[in-house]
Amino acid sequence: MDGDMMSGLGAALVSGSLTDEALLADTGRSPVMQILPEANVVKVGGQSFIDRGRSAVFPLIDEIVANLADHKMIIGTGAGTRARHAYSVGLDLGMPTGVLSVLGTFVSMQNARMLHYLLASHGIPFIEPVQFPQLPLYLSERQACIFFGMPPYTFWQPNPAVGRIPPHRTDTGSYLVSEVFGARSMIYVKDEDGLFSADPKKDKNARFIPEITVDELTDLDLDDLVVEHSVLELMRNAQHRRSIQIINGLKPGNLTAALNGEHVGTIISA
Amino acid sequence: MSDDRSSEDAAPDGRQHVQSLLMRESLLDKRVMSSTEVPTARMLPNCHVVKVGGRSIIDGGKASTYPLVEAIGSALQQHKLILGTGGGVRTRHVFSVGIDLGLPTGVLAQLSIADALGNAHMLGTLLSPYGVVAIPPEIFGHLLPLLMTAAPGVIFNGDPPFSLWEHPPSVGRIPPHRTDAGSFLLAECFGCATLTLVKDVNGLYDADPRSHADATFIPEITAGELRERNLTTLPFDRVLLDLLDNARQMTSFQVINGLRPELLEPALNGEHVGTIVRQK
Repeated sequence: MDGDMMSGLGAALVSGSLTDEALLADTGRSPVMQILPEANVVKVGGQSFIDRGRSAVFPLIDEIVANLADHKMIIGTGAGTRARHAYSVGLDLGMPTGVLSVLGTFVSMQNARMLHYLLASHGIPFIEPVQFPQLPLYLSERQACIFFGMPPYTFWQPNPAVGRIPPHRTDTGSYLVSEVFGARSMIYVKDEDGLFSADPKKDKNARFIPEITVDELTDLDLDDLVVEHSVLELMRNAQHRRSIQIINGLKPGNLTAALNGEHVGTIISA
Repeated sequence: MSDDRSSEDAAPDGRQHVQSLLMRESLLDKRVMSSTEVPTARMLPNCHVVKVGGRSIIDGGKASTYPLVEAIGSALQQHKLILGTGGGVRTRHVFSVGIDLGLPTGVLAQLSIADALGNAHMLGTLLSPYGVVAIPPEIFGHLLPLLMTAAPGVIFNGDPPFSLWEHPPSVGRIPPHRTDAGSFLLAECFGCATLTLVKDVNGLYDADPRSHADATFIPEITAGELRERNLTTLPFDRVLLDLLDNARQMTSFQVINGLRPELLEPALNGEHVGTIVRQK
């Protein structure tokens, strides 16, 4: 920066317009640091995983604990069936998207608290967004921490193009944590092997897709997806986290393999 | 800790569901999503959101701010106002230092909240005689209906609380959802009466009027038309066009010149005194 804020980009930013594409392009010329390059972000599904109770959750907790020695994990939680109930009642009552976003946050927070108590004996904390400045300390001291997956947009949640359901939910909130911290990986723990050509719970002929790009996926224009649309959109603009992996956490060993960088589910890349 | 016992009341698919319209549904299914297109309750239909520019008004100091404060004070006798503030020059400065240090967009968004908050407190100090103060962002959203009943108006930092969760932009590093966007999203969610962006230009021109003396004023335009014209600069956050596309309640906003503070009240009364940008 030549030691002077009033020259170069600094001066242009102070006097110029932040809607000017040429100026915006200039802001992207220097590299972005990776704040936590050793950390993995792991999102544990709500409906797909935590709602299954102990039969699904306990083995995953064991696997998370077994990996603490080797991997740093920032663990986000989904919302699930109670969010669907809250959204259903909320829609009927005429709640706007921003209020539905608040309701979804509450449910993903419940799930975060539950995972937190299951991991509490290992000294792993649950942090809310306001506590994120402590995240590096916790990762350094305890190797992992839990957060609720919803981005903290609350009343400021942008509307979706269609319908009223908040478009940025727990997949998105978790993804953005992996992007902003320049994390090593973004792993989605769900109850299916990854992405299929249709919902495998409803269509027996659904075909498994082990690897795909965001562009290819957009072209396929599938009716249903295993991960929120906005994650795909955000990946296109990402500085660091240009791929995600969706794994079946019901199969023991998958999380460990994914943390080790192995391909055991569907990898979507931009 | 592993235990093979499955829960007694688990559904046949192994997941414990709560009975609801969306039970077992994928919230990523397009068909399911269109079924949720339903009318929305308006929370604060009698309140107006006014975004006061940081660089355009407050950074100008007494000369640009005092007359507007007087106009706001006068408007408060007739209208309930939710005032958002921009971060102005200090936000530009922290962006440039942050970019130089290699910090990502989410961190820049987090940092910039402090600048708009500082401006909110300055505006709050000036509007104290009218019973209007700045409210901390942590409690602002949830208490807003109470505050609007108790006071003639409130001030918040215009930023949406995206912070670390800000979206990486398609070009460069600057957070796309800034204080115009935060004010818009608030007005949309709470179903407010109007959104007015108070800047230091008469509204939208086909070129920046500060550097192009022959720029043509555009009194009214739709988001679609504005996109087609592909103007080099806009007097508001570009992401507003996308947010306007998906608006259900706040389907237009007006940009007015705060250096002509007498325009504020007409704008709140729905009169056309600047540039109106409409959804369609």
